[in-house]
Amino acid sequence: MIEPAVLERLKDIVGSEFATDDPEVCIAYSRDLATYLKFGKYRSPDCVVLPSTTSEVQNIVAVARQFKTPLIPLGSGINVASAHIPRKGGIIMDLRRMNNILEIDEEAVTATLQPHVTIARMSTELQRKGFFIPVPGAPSTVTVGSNYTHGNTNKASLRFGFQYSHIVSVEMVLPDGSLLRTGSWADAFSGDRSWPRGPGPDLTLLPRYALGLHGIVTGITIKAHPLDDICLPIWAAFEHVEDATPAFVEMVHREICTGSSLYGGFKYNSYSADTAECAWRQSRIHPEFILALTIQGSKRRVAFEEKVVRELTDKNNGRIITDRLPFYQMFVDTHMAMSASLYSEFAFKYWASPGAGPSFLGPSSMDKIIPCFKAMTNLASEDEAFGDVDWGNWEFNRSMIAYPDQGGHFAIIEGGIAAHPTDPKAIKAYKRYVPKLIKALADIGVSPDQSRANTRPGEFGISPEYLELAEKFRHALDEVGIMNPGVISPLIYR
Amino acid sequence: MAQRKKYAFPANRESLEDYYDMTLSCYKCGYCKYVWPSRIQHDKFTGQCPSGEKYQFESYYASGRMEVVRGIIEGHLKWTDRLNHILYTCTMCGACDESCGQVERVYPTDVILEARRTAVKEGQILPGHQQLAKSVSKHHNLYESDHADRNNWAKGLADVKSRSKIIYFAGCTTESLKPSIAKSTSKLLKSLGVEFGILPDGWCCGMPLFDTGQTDDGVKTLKHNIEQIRDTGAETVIFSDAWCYKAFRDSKDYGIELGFKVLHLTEFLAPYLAKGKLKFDRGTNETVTYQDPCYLSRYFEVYEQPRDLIKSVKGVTLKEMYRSRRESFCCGAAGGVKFQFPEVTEHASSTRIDEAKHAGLSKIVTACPSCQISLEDASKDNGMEIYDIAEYLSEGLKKTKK
Repeated sequence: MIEPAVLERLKDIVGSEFATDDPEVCIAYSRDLATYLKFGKYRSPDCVVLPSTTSEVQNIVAVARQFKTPLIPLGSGINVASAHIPRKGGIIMDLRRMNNILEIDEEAVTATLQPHVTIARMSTELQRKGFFIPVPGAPSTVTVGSNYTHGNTNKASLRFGFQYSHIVSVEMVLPDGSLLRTGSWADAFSGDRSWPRGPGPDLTLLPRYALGLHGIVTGITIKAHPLDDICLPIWAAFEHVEDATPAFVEMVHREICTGSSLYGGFKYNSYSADTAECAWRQSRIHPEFILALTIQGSKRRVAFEEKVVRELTDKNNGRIITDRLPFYQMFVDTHMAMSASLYSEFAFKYWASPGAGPSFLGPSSMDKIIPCFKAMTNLASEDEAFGDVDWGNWEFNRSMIAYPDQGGHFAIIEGGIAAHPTDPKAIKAYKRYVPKLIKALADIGVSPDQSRANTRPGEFGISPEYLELAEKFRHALDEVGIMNPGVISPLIYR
Repeated sequence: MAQRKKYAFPANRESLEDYYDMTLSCYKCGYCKYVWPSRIQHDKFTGQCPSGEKYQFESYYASGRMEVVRGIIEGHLKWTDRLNHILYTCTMCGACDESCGQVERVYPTDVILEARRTAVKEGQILPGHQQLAKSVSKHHNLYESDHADRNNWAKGLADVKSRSKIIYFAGCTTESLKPSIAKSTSKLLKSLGVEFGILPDGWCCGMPLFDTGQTDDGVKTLKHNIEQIRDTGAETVIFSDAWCYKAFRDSKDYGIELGFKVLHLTEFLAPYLAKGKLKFDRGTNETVTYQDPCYLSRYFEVYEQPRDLIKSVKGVTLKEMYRSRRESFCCGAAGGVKFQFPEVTEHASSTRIDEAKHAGLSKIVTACPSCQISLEDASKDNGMEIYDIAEYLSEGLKKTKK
């Protein structure tokens, strides 16, 4: 129950039609993919409010502080870990009305947006003007604000680096209601122009992974890039991880391709298929491993890099499958989305997958790719559920992606066994499988624990040290504890 | 004829509880809210859900409605004005089904329709919708028009026939509010030498009753029409109203086998156009756009025939709006919405008019009287010209050189 005085104040701020405590409205914010798994039941907020301006957000925060009411900021609401599901009731602040593209600066090549602009909208507008953003790392329907605060910007390409490094400036309302502007947005001498990584107090990564705990993002400036003359997706297929991995590593070390990922098993199918059934079937007939590559640049550069890719593929017993098989165009489209964001559609396919867990994500040296995959596979084959061919059949459901990090010195490895996350048998299997997997991977020198997985230089990662620092920030900024209480920053899977 | 294929197990769902798995299958991916990402044409026109765009709360989008229905099934929600508002502001345009049916095999409009049926069973009939049923029962049309006047438009253009291989079913919206469409349709058919008849006692097709969960009343009026048509021995029935067209096309859902072919006017004319038997000249060079009626396009994939007909008019250029075909934005009239929540219709139509204006267009052709009326209502002060395709083509017939 929300106090009537709180609701009245909220209605005063945004207008009576945009604030309500009707249970029929609140229930729509009560469940996501993981809610029933996590809590055993749905959890509704006490009321919902839809601000349209930064000052309205500030006023709502002030009301929440005054009445010590939990406040959960909500962007796209697309989350597989119930990060925005109210654990302790309170106010859902749905930012849906803050959805304007404020400016595309064609000289600085930046886009300044309100938080509820979707990746698809931003990409459309940028491409219309001859620009693109690399590696969105999230479904097209995810908003830029959500993508940022939920940490899905951890995808990388060798040429452009991590997507989060493209966030130039941010405007956010802190839990005390004050306004923080970072990067060149905070620099009075920069004028109106965004200056990527220019001078100024840089707390731009403060909200990253914070799930609203450190404040509410109300504006973002993103760095974009001019579209290349040629963008050539090229895919190589391999039957064995022992062949695919050396080819991938050498391509990375030779610093070719804008985007390069090693896909194993189910993973690329789940991204590419239109339906869950299609993904299952593809897993049974398609090559086991695929190098999904994109070459971008001038005609000469593309010709050179393509030549190298073909040589390395041939040397490692692979074959280029995009030459002769039009069927693979959908994978090409998919990969274009991954590497160059030209379509930004890949994660539409992602949602067709019957489930993504249990999975891990970890930085690793390149030589750990093969042992990681084998450990994951062997454990699955021994599991009573995942190894049961009549139920799940691990052979077709295992998945992996590896993509280069730190200029190719490291790889980020994602892995998992696909099963429907609402299947009770799968839930039991996850709980049995994950601890064994973590131990097995630790034995080979990889830290797959989600609590250590996503550490990046210059940001709050989720190692215990970073967690402690993040908590200090949280206490300093929000001593009342109103912001998304119950969520542990920045660990969304806990 | 192409028909939308649905893949959802089990195929037969008979009560709201049978849809529980669909409500839980919603992952909140958000694709029901927006134009298919790779087909976005303009960043300002990416929305797909008329009610969601108006009210903004998650409950008014398909993904939120799945949670609302889950709440009903689980017993957490009671029937309230807000609940009815959420359920009945959906225009059933089917835009959400287009993406969700592929991604999760969830068909939100099916779930919403079943929720409406459940509401009706539990006595939750909204006043505007109750009035519809009363009007259909008493006057056999939606608008309380005198039933005796239904065929007034036909004088000199069409005849009631006891036997006819082809029947034209104008529908009560056309007969009551837009008789010019029926006149134009008849002129087009006559120009081709088509021998057709109209029903002696045609009633409302029942579509708004089906849409508002009043299925029994809908079946009653639909059956009456089918029996009338069967009595004429008709092999083909032509429709100019997308609502009526859908009511008949969906008849199998209500256990009724028609025994005759159902065609929209544009489908009927298409072969004649292909054979070169139709030529249109409106005597002007102009650019027009086409508004896809949801019940014709998304539900039955009649996308190209109306476009081909428009493009065949001499001097006419067809330019699409930013959202067209599968991504078309509903005018907001369907689903029984305009009879109870006209503000939703008004908002959707105004949005569509804004889009046309933004694309530099000033003339919209559509193929359904309800779309035409909604768009006209939203165009009163801005000079946008709205045509039904029958009117638009028949005006071109006048100048056809024979």
